[in-house]
Amino acid sequence: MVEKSSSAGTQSIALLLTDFLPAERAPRADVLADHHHLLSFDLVHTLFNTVPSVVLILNPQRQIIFANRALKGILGLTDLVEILGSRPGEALCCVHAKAAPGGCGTTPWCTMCGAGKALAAGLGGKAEVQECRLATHDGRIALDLRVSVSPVELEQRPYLLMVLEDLSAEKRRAVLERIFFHDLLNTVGGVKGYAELLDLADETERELFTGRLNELADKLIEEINVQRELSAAERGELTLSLEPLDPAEVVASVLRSYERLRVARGKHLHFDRTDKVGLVAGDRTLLQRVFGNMVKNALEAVPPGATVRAGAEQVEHEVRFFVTNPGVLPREVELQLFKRSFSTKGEGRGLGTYSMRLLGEHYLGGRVGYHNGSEGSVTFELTLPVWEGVTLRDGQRLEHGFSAASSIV
Amino acid sequence: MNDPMNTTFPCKKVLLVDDDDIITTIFRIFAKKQVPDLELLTTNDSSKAFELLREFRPDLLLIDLFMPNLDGMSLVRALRSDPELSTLPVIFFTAAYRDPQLRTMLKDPQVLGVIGKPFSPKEVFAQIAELYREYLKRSVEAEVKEVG
Repeated sequence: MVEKSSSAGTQSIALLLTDFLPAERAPRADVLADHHHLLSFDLVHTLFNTVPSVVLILNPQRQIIFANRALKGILGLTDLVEILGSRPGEALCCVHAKAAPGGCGTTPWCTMCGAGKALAAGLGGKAEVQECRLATHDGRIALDLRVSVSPVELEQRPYLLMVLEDLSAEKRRAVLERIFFHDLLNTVGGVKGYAELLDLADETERELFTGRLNELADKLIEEINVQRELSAAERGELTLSLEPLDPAEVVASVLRSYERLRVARGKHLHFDRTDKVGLVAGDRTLLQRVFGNMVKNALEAVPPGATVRAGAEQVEHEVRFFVTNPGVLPREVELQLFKRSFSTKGEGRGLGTYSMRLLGEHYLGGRVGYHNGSEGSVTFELTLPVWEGVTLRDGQRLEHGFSAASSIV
Repeated sequence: MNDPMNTTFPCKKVLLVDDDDIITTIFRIFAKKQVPDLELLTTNDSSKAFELLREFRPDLLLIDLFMPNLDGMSLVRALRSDPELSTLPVIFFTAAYRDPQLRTMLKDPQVLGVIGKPFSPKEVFAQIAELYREYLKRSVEAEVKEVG
């Protein structure tokens, strides 16, 4: 960080050198004065309050000085005064808004944000339309927005008019179509292909092709279940069966199931075993799903011959499930991980990292993260608290009489 | 539609690039049994496509659209700026055959068409044969016109 002197008319704080847009803000008094100035134009608020999309008017420091009723509805605000002076990402609880002292627009993530880019263009005097994927602090809401920014002038005062349209449903449909139906059609194609080959097969081949047909039928069921689970999770309707789980057993079972899959062919899956790991409380299926997604992503990211290492270790009062593969996450990928319609497989292709975070954090109550290792490796991890402090000692088996599985939503 | 088993297959060498190894396996088995004259090479790793195209020198590239690392459209665009491979005929083979971006790709005269998934191997090979025959016919007509 480098300190600079502040310019006239802005808040008298030391200015910060940021990763993107300037950090400086107008003083509260100026924000309120601008707000009242805008309210004096009856047409502005009457017109904008009839629009279903979110309309914001920002000052040149990108602070909100007017917001229409649509924002009130989304944020559940009783009074818009609560968000006056904040920036759009801060008002919308963007997960990155507090990642730098300068706030929304100043963090490394903001360089990849559509809203940030549109605002940069608006500040340069150009109207701009961009798309923006916004994830909230709690990981629960993922919004895909179309952001339009236009520079406007009202009685010789410069402002930025910002319109946010929710594309989430549109994107969700697109993602559903592109991933679910695409993958489903590929698998069904495989079923059709092997069914046709059965007609041409000799006795030995017949057995082989029948086995493949069974594998494909299992894959179809799995694809449908994953999609059903994700939709339920997004609606907040996923019911969990909580039970104490042995992390080593979870890792071993996931690795066993992935070893058999085609994605692992020619690749090595190594279980990094550690002796003392506590139990975690979780839903077995969901934990296996999140950890399995990490394993699958790692396997897909490496060429044949490479080794993917996975395991679980206890760090103080937490258990860290990890999957490491050789490689490096490019910066542009890193900045968009965990967003709903981002995928390294192409626009609107993947839900893998998004579902990891939704299921791992919101439902399992853990933390999902990643890091690029100095030795050219990428690690994804899920950290869960140790269950009630119970620790499995070397070789000790779980013998407590746990009560029946409980359910939470 | 011509049956590939009853007529001579019009091209001798095809490279299939598809990240789904179920698909490439089915194609290899089917081609071996039903189109023995065809030399079919497959890869599940699109980043290796250029290397294979240079070594194998196929008559036709059959390629999926959505693949990790390098997607089908980017690969074909890169192909067009490669002096050695710029005229290679291409057929897209994808479940996303309604993708609007594919329409733009179809303006490229060397993109012979799009075959949709799910698929019957027999029908796919018949469609490849038909599209490639049409392409050969157009090429001959263009040559005649040029000479005339």
